[in-house]
Amino acid sequence: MEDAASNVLLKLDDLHTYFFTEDGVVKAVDGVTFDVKEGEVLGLVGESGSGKTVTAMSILNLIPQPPGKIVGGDILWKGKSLLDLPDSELRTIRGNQIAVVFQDPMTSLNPVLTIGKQIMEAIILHQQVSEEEAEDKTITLLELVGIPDAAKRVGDYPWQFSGGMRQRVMIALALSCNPDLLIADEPTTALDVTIQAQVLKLMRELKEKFQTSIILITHDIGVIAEMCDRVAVMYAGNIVEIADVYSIFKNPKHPYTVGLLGAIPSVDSKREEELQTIPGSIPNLISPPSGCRFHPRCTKAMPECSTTVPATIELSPGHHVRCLLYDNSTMK
Amino acid sequence: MEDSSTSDTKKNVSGYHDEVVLSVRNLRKYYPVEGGYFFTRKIADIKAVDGVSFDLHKGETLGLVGESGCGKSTIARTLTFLYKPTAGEVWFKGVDLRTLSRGELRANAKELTMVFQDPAASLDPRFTVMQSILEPLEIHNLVDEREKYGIVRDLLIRVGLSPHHAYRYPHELSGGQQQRVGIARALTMQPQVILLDEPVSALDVSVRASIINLLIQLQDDFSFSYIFIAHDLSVVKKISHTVAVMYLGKIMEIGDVDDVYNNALHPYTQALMSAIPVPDPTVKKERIELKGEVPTPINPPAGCRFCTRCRFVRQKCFLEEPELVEFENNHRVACHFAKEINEGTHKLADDVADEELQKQRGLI
Ligand SMILES: Nc1ncnc2c1ncn2[C@@H]1O[C@H](COP(=O)(O)OP(=O)(O)OP(=O)(O)O)[C@@H](O)[C@H]1O
Ligand code: SF4
Ligand code: SF4
Ligand SMILES: [Mg+2]
Repeated sequence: MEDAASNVLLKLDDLHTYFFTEDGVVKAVDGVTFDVKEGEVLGLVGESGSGKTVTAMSILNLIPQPPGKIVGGDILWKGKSLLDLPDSELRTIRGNQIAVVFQDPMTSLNPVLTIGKQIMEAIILHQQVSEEEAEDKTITLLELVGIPDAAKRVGDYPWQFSGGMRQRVMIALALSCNPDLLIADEPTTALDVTIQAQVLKLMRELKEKFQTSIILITHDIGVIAEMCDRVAVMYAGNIVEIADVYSIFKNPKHPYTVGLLGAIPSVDSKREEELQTIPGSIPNLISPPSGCRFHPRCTKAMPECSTTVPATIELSPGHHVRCLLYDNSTMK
Repeated sequence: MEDSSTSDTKKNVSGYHDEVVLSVRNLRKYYPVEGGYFFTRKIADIKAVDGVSFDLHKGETLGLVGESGCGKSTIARTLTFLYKPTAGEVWFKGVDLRTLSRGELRANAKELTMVFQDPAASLDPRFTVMQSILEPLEIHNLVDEREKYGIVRDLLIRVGLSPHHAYRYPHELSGGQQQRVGIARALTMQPQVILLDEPVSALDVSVRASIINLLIQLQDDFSFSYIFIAHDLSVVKKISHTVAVMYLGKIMEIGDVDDVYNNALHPYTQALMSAIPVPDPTVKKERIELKGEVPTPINPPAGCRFCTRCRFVRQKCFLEEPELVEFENNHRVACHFAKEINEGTHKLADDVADEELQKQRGLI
């Protein structure tokens, strides 16, 4: 991984996004800090409900409000806060510079418009081009994402495409504005492995050809290893560890990261070897555990873990961890 | 194939017993496609399972893999009598199930049970854990009032829950706990065969591992036979003794797990295995890219079903359907050119100067 210029494109600074529900306040994202540099793929990994999607939606200001609200922190896009931008400006950034691909392409595409029409509309909306130019561009984009017979298929409706093709159409749609940042939330989870491989390859090509930065959200550790330059591990609304992909896999520091990596069967693990498990289950985010949110499940927990909220420590350049084991100020 | 479940047979080198529990021959399951004015006329068949044969041994896990729609779940459902097969034979402990009356079938059904993907949806929300676990026994009128609690307590402990969970409702349990109840429920009838259709896909990584450990532990203790379906190929690898790779309703390759994963013979298996993401950033794996999409099971290609996407295809493949034949010990494959491909003497179709072939491939 060459240092793809330390040009920070996006910075989340102590972001807090809560949901105010009848049952109480869900602290879905509770102090998340990370940045995304130009041309890098940042993986966001964690279990269901850890706050990955809410983090992504916060960046795009797509949090349903009410009940959701960004209650603290800041989101900086090329140095400018997105939080105090007027809606119209935000929409321009969202269409022209930041694009998003969600897990279920069927719900994100308009079922009553042809594929071609949807992409053309997006192009015309964001770029000053004629209808013919937009049509040409649409076909080029569909070819780029590997839709065979693109010129013919522009007239088809979403239901006429298979799941893998729809996902590629979604990526084509996201690319129609040449985004600087693509946020992909579980883009391959609903797909078969062979199709997943095609979609991942496409995303890699994007990064290489256009230097597009990508935030890749997934719970699939294999996909993370394959795609990402850096990885942020989320647990219960916090980022517990962030580092380059090699350090995360070879030298994980946070007990949760260690547990997560031990819990996945690799293709060459033997049937007789027991998989490591993490006891207990994911906490409720209305009343998360005190101190370190992982403490009820942590095999390394110490008495102070239930009372002290760990600070984020930089262990080595770029390797941050949020665990009292590494916090010298609290060491016995 | 006689019932010797009580005899203490030794496990073979593959890690299971030699005794065959379930034997499937030429199983077919077609779903009608209805059309016409009131959707009452059958206009075609979806050939979801189209001639599948295998033996399942005592204590063996058979993993079924293949892309969505290839017929994995249909096999499981047909075997648990949720669906009636269109054709073919199912022998269970030496008895041809077609010869049984309805009542006899029902008695057998308790020995073949199923665990489903979504733990929440497969438990009745109005039932306590105890009621859910006992329900199969009550259906079969097998429950003695005085023994109820004892049975449930033992089962809960077996699946790693504690006795006090007996009085909980599903919504009070986590996903992993619900799936444990689902497994306990499958164990209630002391089945011989458990069909597991994506049993861990809905669970989080950290919880998934403990369920996989539990399933392996239970099998080692009781010699259940499993048919295990999952789209996560690493999970299948972990738990299976034998793996069958399906494509468009047929088995393309079947064999010991290590042979199928490390020495895949069929071009489709080779592509599938190469697509598994490796959780190690230092490994850069070479991918065999599959072109195109899976054809419709209403009208599968003539000849080899994989011919529209195979990188080794020849003219013969468009005409003749390959049989599933033994290639080496316990390892069977359905490909005309398996030997040549495996020996490295079979050229890629792209490199063959045969105009007729390229025309058939749609490249000219
Ligand atoms: N509209 C909403 N109202 C109330 N709570 C919400 C809402 N959306 C999300 N949450 C809560 O916020 C928390 C984080 O959810 P989020 O969807 O970000 O998780 P995730 O990490 O993306 O999980 P998954 O892997 O399942 O997609 C969860 O506790 C969730 O229930
Ligand atoms: S702070 Fe304590 S409980 Fe939390 S991860 Fe570190 S050791 Fe475990
Ligand atoms: S029979 Fe032909 S088309 Fe089928 S897998 Fe073998 S080489 Fe490929
Ligand atoms: Mg999500």
